[in-house]
Amino acid sequence: MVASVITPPARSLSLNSNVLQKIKSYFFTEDVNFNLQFTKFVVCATLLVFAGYPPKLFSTDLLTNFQPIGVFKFLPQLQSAETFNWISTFFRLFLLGAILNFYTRTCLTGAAIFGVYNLIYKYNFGVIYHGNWLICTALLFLVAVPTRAWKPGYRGIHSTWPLRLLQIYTCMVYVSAGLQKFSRSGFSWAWSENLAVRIYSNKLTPVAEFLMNMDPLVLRTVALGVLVAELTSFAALISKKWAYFYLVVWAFMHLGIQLTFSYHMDFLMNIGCFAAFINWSRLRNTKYLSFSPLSIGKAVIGEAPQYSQESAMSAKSQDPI
Amino acid sequence: MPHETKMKTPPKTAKPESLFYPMVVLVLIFGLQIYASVTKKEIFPFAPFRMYSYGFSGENLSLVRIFCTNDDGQENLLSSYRLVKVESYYTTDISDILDAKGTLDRSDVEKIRSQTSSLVRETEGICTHLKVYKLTWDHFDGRLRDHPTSKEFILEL
Repeated sequence: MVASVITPPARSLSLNSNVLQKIKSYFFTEDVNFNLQFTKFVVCATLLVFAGYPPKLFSTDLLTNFQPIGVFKFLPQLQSAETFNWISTFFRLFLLGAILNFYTRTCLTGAAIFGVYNLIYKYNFGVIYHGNWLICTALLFLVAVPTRAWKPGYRGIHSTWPLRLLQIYTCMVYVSAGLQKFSRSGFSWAWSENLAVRIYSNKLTPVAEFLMNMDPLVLRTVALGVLVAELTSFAALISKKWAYFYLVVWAFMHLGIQLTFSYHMDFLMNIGCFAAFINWSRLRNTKYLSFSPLSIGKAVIGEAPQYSQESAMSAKSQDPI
Repeated sequence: MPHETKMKTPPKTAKPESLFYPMVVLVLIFGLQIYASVTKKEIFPFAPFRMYSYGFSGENLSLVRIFCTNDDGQENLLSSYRLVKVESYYTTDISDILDAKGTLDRSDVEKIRSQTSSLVRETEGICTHLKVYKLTWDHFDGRLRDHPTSKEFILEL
């Protein structure tokens, strides 16, 4: 009798502790920092290649139309393109430093500060898109990683949770976009002429012309595919295979939008954040990837990275997904 | 034989790393992102990611289309605005102006132009005039795009 009274809480406790244990092992598995290093390399390299160049923002009419958002409300408005060029230059230098593991956290912090200014400044003039948002946030996540986790041969929990965070956050962005579409416009977002209207609101590219000349059913099916892909994006966290499937779907989605709408270039930088899903440690020992960003950085400074055999084996067995 | 007991010193293990800091970061980031998604508020860098979420019907569609013309009179589309109320962030909605005044004047178009970065890029150096048309379709689909039910010239700047 007593046992039957006591048992339910005990089982509940056990269930809770099991769930907590799984969550703990999901976020805080000890690992070497190779995947983290490589993700940082891809994110910073993406920003270095695709961002950091001043947009044309200094025409007279724009200077009078400054409507600051977020932290820009507390910052002065830039008055000349020259100041912006300096900010861009510092941004690129800090990115380069972070790639080469030169005072990594300091460089990442500098890149984040100048990068936010560089990437988001153009949204202070009335129209906000979210093309830069994900990669900008990824940079901020990397800043949150403690300094010791960037050291060569580091093994610990700080190698895992930033990658998990970036994986889940990436999925959240797509799911949130799908939910906003579904909650605002319902099923008719896809099964209507909505996509045709959107395409026609822009200058038509050859791909857009091709799609517009097709039966309306084609555009409806494409829109439905986008909606379903976004709403189910959390499935990328189920397993490695699902993750790779969604990485391809998301990448095609962005490329398709760029080819159709032509103003989607910023969103292509999201693809750099997909690096967090890939197990780079596996590729490390293959002929396809016999170098590491860490070794490049240390080669420049003159010190080879030291990974223990055990750490390397462990990294091989650990799957970031 | 005396039993020799030798106390083995336990191997020195590294102090486990504290979960406090990463837990705070994770809770803060997920919390703020969920808050932004649910409340649809922009809290940089967290956003609801609306991403073209407003749906437009092809029935009784009205579009205001702004063209840039060069000296040769060639028209290049700069932007289109749908004449429906759109929830937007910091953006002047062209339908607000038309609802209030019934027409657009130069300052309205300049304001809209200045808010649209693609317009600014496109018009720099090549644009001598801006032309604004209002087009309507009883039913719109991609193949009917060049056959509006009506096309009304609104103004030239």
